[in-house]
Amino acid sequence: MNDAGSRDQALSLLTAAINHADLAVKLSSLKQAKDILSSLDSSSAADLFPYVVDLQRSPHTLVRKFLLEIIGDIALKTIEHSAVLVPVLVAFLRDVDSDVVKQAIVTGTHFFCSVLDEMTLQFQQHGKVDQWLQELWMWLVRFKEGVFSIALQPGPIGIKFLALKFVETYVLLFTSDNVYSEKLEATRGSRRTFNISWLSGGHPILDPVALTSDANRTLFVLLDMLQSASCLPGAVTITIVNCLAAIARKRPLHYGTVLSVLLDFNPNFEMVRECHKASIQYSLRTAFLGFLRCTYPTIVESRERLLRALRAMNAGDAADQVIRQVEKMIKNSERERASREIQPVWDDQVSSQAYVLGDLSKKRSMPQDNEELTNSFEMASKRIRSGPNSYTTPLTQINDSGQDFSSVTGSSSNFPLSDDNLTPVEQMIAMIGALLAEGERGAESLEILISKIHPDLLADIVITNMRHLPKSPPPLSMVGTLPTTQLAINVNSRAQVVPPSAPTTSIFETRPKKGSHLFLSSYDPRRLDPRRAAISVGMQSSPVLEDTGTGMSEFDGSNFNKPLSVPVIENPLVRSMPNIQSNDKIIEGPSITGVEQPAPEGDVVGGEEDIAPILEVKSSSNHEVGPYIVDADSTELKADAEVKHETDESSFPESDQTFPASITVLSLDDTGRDLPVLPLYVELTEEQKRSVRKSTVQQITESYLHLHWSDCNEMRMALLARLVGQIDADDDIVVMLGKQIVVDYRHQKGHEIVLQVLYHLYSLTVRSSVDHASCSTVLYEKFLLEVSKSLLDTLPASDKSFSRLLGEVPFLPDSALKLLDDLCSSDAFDVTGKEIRDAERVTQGLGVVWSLILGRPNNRQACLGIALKCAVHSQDDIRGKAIRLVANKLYQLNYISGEIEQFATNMLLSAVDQCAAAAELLQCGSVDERFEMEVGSGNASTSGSQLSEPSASGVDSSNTESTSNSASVVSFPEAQRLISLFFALCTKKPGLLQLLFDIYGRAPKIVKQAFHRHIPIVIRALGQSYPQLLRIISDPPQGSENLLTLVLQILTQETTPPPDLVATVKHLYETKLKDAAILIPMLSSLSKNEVLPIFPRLVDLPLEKFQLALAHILQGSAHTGPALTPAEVLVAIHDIVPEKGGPPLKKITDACSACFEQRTVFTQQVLAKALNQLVDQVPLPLLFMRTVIQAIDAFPTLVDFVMEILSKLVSKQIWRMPKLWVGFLKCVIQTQPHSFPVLLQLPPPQLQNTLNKYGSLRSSLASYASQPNIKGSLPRSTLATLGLENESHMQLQQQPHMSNLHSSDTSVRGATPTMRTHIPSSCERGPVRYLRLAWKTVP
Amino acid sequence: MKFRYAMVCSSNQNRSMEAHCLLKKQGFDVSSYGTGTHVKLPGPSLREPNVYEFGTPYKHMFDDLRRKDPELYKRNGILPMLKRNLSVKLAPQRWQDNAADGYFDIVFTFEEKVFDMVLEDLHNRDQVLLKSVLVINLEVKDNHEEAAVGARLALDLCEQIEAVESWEDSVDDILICFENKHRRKLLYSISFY
Repeated sequence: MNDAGSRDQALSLLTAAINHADLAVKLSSLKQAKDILSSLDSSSAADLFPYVVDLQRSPHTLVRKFLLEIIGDIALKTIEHSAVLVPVLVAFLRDVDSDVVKQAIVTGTHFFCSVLDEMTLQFQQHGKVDQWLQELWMWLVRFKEGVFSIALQPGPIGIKFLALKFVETYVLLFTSDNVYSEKLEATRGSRRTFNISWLSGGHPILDPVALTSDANRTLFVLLDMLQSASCLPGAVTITIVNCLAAIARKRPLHYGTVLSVLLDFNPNFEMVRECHKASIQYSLRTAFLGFLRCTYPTIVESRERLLRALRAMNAGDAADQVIRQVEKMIKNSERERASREIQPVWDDQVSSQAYVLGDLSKKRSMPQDNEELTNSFEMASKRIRSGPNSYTTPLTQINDSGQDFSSVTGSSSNFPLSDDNLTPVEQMIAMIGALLAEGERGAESLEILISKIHPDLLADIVITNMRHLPKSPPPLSMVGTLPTTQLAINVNSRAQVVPPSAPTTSIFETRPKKGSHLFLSSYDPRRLDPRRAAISVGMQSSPVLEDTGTGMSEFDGSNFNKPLSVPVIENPLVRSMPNIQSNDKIIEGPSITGVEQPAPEGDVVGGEEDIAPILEVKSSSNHEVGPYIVDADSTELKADAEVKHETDESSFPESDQTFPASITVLSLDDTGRDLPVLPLYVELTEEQKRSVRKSTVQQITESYLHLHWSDCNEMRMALLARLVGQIDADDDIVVMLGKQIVVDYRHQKGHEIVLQVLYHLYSLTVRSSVDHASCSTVLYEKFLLEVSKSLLDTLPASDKSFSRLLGEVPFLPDSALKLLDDLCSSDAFDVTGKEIRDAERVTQGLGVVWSLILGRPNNRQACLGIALKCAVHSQDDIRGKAIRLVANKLYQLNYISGEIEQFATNMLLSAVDQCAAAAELLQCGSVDERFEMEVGSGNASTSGSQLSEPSASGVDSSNTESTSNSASVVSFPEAQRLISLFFALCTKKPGLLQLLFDIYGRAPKIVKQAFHRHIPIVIRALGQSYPQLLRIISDPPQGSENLLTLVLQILTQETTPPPDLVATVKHLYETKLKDAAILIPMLSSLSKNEVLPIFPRLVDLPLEKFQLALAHILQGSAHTGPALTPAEVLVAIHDIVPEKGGPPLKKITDACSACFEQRTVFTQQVLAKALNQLVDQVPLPLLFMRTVIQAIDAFPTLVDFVMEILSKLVSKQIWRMPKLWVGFLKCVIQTQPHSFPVLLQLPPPQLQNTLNKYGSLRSSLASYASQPNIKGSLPRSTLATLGLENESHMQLQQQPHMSNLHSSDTSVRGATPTMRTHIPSSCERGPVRYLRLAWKTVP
Repeated sequence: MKFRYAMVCSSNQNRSMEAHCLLKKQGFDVSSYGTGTHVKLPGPSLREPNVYEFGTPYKHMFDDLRRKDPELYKRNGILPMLKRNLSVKLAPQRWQDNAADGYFDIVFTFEEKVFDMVLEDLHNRDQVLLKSVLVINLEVKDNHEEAAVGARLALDLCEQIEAVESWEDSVDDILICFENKHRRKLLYSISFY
């Protein structure tokens, strides 16, 4: 089909699609048309575009949607002809159907990127851009605006998502990115991603500066949307957060801005509409975790802040995990990157310096400038700007602060009010006063100044200023006449009310600005924390910088349209522009060059002129940045200040009920108007003062709670902290405050508030005079205890808040440690007297102890004392937990392991040497204590005194205490209590085992039992071939044999002992310890040749040990098989000759019997085999006949085999061996009538002898022999002995049964008294049994 | 059924498969995945899990475990679970490798960690389709009983999502309502393909 043909076909299909009534037909025609269109060459396809566009008026959603797909498909291929198609995209943005709108955005976004690429490409290749492309771009700009308005205006949320996504894409496209581009390119696959840096060299249409500024503005639109999230649906808020996070991750340039907004973002706003709060909160968490995954320097530097934020969301674990992952990743690539690493970091610093405009360089030359400082405003304002600007370079900032300091002091000599003796706060107040004195001219500077002051400092100023209130009622007068110091607070609000009209002199602005930085580093009470000492200054700077950052935007907002507002240059546009430059050195945009080269010596006028044009560009963006921050912060601040001001001055003696009204009514405007007139001053009684004070604090806290604590910015926290500092120590306000904070501790920033208060109180104790310090100390302790207790009462044991609190407070008083001690080990009772301690609380307490030991060196001893005390606690579960903590965690810390070991050893020894302990107890005479122990009320009475000197006596005193315990109650549990810890330590340090073996011998029986209970755990934990253990085994101390045997048993249980163990034990047996019992566990690994020499010794052991040994021998090892077969065992037993100093005969017979008891092992076949071997021995073993009798008794079916043996014995002339002959006869008697043939084989004298001995045998034997077939084979002499020559057999045959039975009975009971000593009683009934069986088998 | 669903847990064995099975029976277009590095099944002790690669057929695991200790794995429900799984699909699939499976409209995760991983993975993907995806986390303990409960809850939620005209407009309401009804905490986020 040629092109024209297919074109016609496509045309007809399109017409059908437009005109046909049936939707299905429309769609199928469209589908075919689409296929044809995409196969056509671009120009012929373009001819058809007008028809395609006609489809946009179709009433069918599906058709319109399909149209968009066609556009997406075709327009991208034939981009030069698509000018007709793009307007459709723009039009569809207002379509009624949201699916169509979505599709339009998707298609448009792709198109947008393609056109951008194309434009760049054309320019790069040909140096110009085609007209059609310019037209397209115009449409796409309209498209962009359409999408932006969708994002901003209310509408279906599904569309909004895509619009926001487009916004994100837009910001990414036009934000320079030299760090990250490789990665993005990799992910985007084949398509190269447009980068703003390509637009170098003056692109005719695309102005990088304008685009970048637009992108920045767009970002601020997004940030702004987030600020007003309270009226957005939750899903939109989440999408915005996600988009912002994506931008921050992909464009480090924006990271700082986005991060600070996200950190400040508080999803707990009063809900205007239903939205899923948890998910919004979680989206922040996801964003922060995502940031943690990034590795470029800007983000890594903010890691601490992220961690803090994440911990506050209870996501500390997840954060730690991510950090571990990242660190692993970094480590992996570290080596290869090591050389390259330095370069980028350096580059980054350079670029960030560059992108704070010339300011930074100017600032850096400041010290030199000082001499010629002309107090010119321009200079000063530039210096103000430098602060927030440098937030990306905290290190240089810190360095600079030193220089700034010199500059401040240098210029302060010009300042009439400054006084070297004043504290920084007082200096500030003085300065504010001076500004006020200038009247309205100073107002603006004052406002700037206050917006720059760190919350901590500002709070101090407020409080200090309140202190300066006159004791006597001030005269009612106008503002102007008031002493300036008193007015400092009001000024803030006044600054808002009074519009500034005149430029001010600059020095004031400069100094406070720098001053605030300076004070900060010296002021943050947290600095006093000893733990922070090691932390680098860099970390401290982060909150500072953050604050100035916000301060800056406030500043911008309130000033941006005033004549002296050069600082406005500080807006994002300008910030990023130089960055582009520094990133891409080739570009030299004409508008920027001027900015980039301000003369270091302060070519002020020129610089300002250069900046001015740019100012216009971004002035619009100011709307987004400024106002809301200003409003929120400053009104809060003023309100707070007013409340306090009001209450302190207030002369209402009324009670709480009437009081609130007066405060809440005071709105900003009111105060602004009313302040100049002070209310009446009324003298209050002490009582009234107190109640007013109390109600005030209550008011404040309650109103704070109402606002949600998390709204608290640092300012408010700082103020609250100072307020608490003013409270008398005996007031119970702290208690109330503590409780109130805890009520909503987790969701709100309870922890931060409490810490702020505590740090402030602590700083008071450190700084102030002895008098005041003690008051603060009491207050501190009271507040801490109250919060701790409330935390324990209200939050579940799994909550980490308590631990975190104790870990981070500046100082732990004894009472806090006592609380911890109670939590861990003592029984605590609640108000109703019910015991409230539960296992989880103990775990919690121990967890806290652990973290304190790790994190608080000063309290380490005391905490260790608590842990160790619990490790010997009388309750098993507490002890178990504590021991796990001590052994697994604490014992690993080398700075306390020695102490732990010593303690455990003392406990062990105290258990073993009870007498000594008892003596000690007598000395102590602590009867009461003992009584308490017995009653079971725990250690409550002792803990107080111990903890008064926590660092020194913690361990020792609990030591003595426990020793006394051991003496008072001597029992198995008590022994266990004392020794468990030591055993637990043994698993960690096998060397300690030696001590166990050393003292085992002298331990009392109960303690030994406890040893036996514990040792298996230790040994199993250590494994078999521990060198220390082997050394002990090779040379066990006196008296430890039992323990040694036990250990060996455990070592060999269920496994084959390793060769070195076997060798050690054998050596021990051969040299030192002759007790064969220790060899028993090893027997299974010994060979036959090794076992046989020691076999007699094994037999000599007590019976149960022999049985054990037997089991081991027969069991053997998996590799070698049993050392001896059962038959060999029997032979070995018989080989023992009792006379030669070996075991007595009794032992041997016992051993034999032990074998016979194991009928499953020593089977019929085994016995047969053994007897066969034995019968051939010369001489016959002494016990041979006894064994034969036992064998036949155990297995009657062996009878035929035994008869063979007996015949052999006859042939060996058994009667010549008197001891065996007796047994032989006994056996023959027992086995008649089967033994008759054997009897008849005996020579007549012996037969005669036998018949004489057992008379009853004669008749039955005779009757047997008289059977014709037998009779014939017998020699005459035998027959003669039997007297059978003439007898008839008839009558004998009639009653064989009776006579046999009878005879056998008598043989057992009467005729064999001699045998009874040899045959065990169990054999006595044997013959009877045998005979019954025999009769059944005999035919 | 308007949407494509994905059920994700860590090993694509218990929770996600339970839900997959149930939703499949109800006629949903559903797939399931795991986010772990390996598929882990309980072994004779806590320290000796049975570890398989993703993509190992359920049948193979079934045979393997039946050979190792039929009694144990029958008793702890692993064999019955695998049997159920092999009737649903061939082998466990890994979420991070599912780019070829196209986009999903709704993704359910059953554990916060998995939720995080899915979101992080989506973030790292090349989001060119501009197709929004709703990721919901429903915390479900990894045992058979809870998985069954969790699957029913997931089904309930899916039905509610299907019932509304656009989930984008009502996701907050649906989730809050669900939380109140079942006393279960949910989390959701929105990402893009």
